[in-house]
Amino acid sequence: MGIFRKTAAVLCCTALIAATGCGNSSKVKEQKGQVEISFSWWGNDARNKYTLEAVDKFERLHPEIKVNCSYSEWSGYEKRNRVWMTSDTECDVMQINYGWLTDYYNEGKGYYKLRELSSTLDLSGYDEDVLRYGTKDGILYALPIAMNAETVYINKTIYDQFDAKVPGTWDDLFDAAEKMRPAGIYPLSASSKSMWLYLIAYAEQKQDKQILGEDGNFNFGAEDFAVMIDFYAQLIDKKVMPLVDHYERIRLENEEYAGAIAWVSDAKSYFGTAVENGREIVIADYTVNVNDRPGEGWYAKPATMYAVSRNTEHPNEAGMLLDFLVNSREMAELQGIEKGIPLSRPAVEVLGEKGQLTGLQYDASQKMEGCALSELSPVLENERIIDDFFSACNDYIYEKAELDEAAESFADKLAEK
Amino acid sequence: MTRDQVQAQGLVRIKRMSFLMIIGYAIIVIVAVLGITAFAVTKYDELTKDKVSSMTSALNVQLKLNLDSYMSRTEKMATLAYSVDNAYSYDATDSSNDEYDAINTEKQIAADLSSLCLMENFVDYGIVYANDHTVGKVSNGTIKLFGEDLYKDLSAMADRTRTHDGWSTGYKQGYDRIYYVKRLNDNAVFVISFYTAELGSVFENPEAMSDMAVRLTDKDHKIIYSSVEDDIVGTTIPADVLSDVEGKDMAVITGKDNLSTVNSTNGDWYVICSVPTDIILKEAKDMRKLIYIAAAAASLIAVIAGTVFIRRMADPIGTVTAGLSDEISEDGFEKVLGSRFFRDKADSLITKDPKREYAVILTRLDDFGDMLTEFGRETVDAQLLRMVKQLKEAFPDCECIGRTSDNTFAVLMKNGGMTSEEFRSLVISRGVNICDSFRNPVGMNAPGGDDATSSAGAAIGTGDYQNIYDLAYKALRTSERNGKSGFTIA
Repeated sequence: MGIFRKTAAVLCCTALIAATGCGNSSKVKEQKGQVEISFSWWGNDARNKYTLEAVDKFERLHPEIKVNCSYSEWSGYEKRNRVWMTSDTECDVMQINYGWLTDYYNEGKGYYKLRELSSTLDLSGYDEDVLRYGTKDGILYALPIAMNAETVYINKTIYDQFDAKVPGTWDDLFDAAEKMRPAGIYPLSASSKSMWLYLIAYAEQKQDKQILGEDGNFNFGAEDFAVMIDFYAQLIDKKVMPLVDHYERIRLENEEYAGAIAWVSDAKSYFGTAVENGREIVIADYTVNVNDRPGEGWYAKPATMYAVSRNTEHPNEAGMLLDFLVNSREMAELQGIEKGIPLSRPAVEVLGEKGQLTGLQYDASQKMEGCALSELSPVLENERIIDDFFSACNDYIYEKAELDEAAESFADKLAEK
Repeated sequence: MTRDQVQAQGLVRIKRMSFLMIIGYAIIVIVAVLGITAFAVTKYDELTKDKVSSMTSALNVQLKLNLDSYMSRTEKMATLAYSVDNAYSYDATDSSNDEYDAINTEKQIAADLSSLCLMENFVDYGIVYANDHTVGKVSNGTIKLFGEDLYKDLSAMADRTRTHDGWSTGYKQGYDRIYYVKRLNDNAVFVISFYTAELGSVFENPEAMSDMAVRLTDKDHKIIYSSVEDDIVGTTIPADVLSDVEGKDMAVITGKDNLSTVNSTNGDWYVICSVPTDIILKEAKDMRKLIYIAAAAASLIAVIAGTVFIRRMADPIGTVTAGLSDEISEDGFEKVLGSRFFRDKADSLITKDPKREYAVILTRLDDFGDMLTEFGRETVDAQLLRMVKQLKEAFPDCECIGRTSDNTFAVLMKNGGMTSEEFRSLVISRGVNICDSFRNPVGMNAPGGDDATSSAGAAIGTGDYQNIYDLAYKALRTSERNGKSGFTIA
């Protein structure tokens, strides 16, 4: 009977344990934690879409990281960035404009020191002379993506229709306008910043001096700005270019504009449709006077740069994202040469393999590299200065002020800044 | 049928019953466990489905609320445009506008609008006038998409009469953007648009429900947003989900392939959550395996335990019965049957093989009564034991030995293949030998001398035990009448 009792006892105990013991034990299931970082950029539709796609790929490669994106078109973005930077709410990884490195440098407290991210960010694909664009006081704060310059894009198909010469000089533009005016077509067009830089090129050639002195301060005075305003008024009056306030890019696709001043990086977004439609788009020489050297008064700069927030709580993850953006095959393939020819060697190698180093944008890059262009100071990209300049222009064009008054007014505002 | 046959049959029946009880018990246990297990598994499947359906339903409602909240916030952002000076009163189509003033007014409106949407990922946030002129942030993508119908088609999207606004997507199959349009005045609409990818934050899936597909569709069930990597916006949702949710506004559907929930939002859009049934029941299947394994183990344990219990219960009966049988069959001496059992066994053997010769040898202790009176039971028993011992030695190959009375023993011997004469000679030889060997002193004054003696008689025959026994008994009696310690064969 001993075994009988023991067996019964064991079975009863097992049943009791199964019925009560197991059910009451507490269980802890660890949830997957995700590090959240943020990433901001500006750009057009195409850039937004491929960047979102790239972020999606990055998140798939690193499921432990979630990237919150913040993006917009350029219009108003500078203000958005200023709000972020001044309220310490900037994104962990940022696409920044070349000028912002100076604007928000804040004695080295503006951005993260990128060389401290060497465990996640590989800088070996960059030449040191390229990295100097993102360096302040010997410390690397930003990575340039590509070089950029204002470029003269010409729809040669339209020019040929009007038997107009692809412009190389300012006079060529007026000749073309003369021929196209009856058809309501502008030989050239530009948004406000491009127009501003275009007028600077004219004025520097005309005045034979640079707009900024060697100390970085404005070297131009009211009389120099008067030259710019007057020339702008002539361009408008002779229908060479539309008023910047009336500029609409869609009219480029509608072929109401036969050309555009735009960045190297804008080639595809501005003329992609025209190229698809079989139009011959060419890169004209940098516009100069007959006797000027090629590229005089024209500037180049890093297209855009990437920086990391000085306040980031996740520097390693931010470094990983930054490395992905500049060095990865995925991003290189998606981005192509949308921002210009990448300065990162791994990205260039991918584009070379893929045969993407061709086309209008590549031609524009080659044109830029073929001329000794001056380095664009960030000061010249200040949107408030540009807005004030065109307000002064409008005052003159709409006869609200005399030329010298308008120029003085702008010079005074500039001095206040 | 003899008694021991009845008893033997009884024992066999007990064993058989015991075996049947074990088998029956095992079958009952297995069937019961299987039945309960199947019931439990079915219930578990149902409960799992119910649980997942209530979870997806709750999540669907939450996602719908998230979307409503997101859209409501967007609508408020559009309403904020009314706070901008001239935004709703300025008419860019008015030909009497002064161009210079118009430029400055539009510039100011654009700047103010830009401040309002400063932190938003809006693609568009601006005003479109009846002449397709735009102020504020109206992207080239939108201008290009709508072309010459920019104002006309955007106006048509403001189809809610109460608030003069409306939501739309899928314009010219462009499902990558969602538009919200609000009419500002007779010649202007305010437009906001954002990428559908922005809805990723609205439809964020909890980790626990990562297998669930979340989709936002238009009224035609074309995908506006999907959490499924392979889905393409603008295409119709998969047929298996579509067949479940088509025609339903707010429902939980346990379909053949999916468990789906649908909630309508924004009038004619749908938030659809679906989980493949396979995935829902994946855990249930694993659990089912475990339940079946546990049930099989429990059945095995129960059967083994039951077998042990039954055997432990059956054994005492068998033991008691067997003990009783032994006690009945053996008559005080080891392997010496009682009178009745000897008779039954001998009769059984002779009946079974009726042509074979059998010999019954009877031997009896002489002067038994006198010895008992004179020397007592102990001495007599010693003599009987000696007799049994000598019988066993003399007849090692006999069929059985029995005690037919207090002082009489019987031996059944089979002719194993000898001729009748040889067999008879063997029986005589052994009969004489047993009488001679038993004659020895007992160490007492036995009546008639110092020797304890025995007489013996035997008979040989076939087919009828009783007849052979009777003849042997007569022969014994003859031996006794002829003097003690003699042997006679019939």
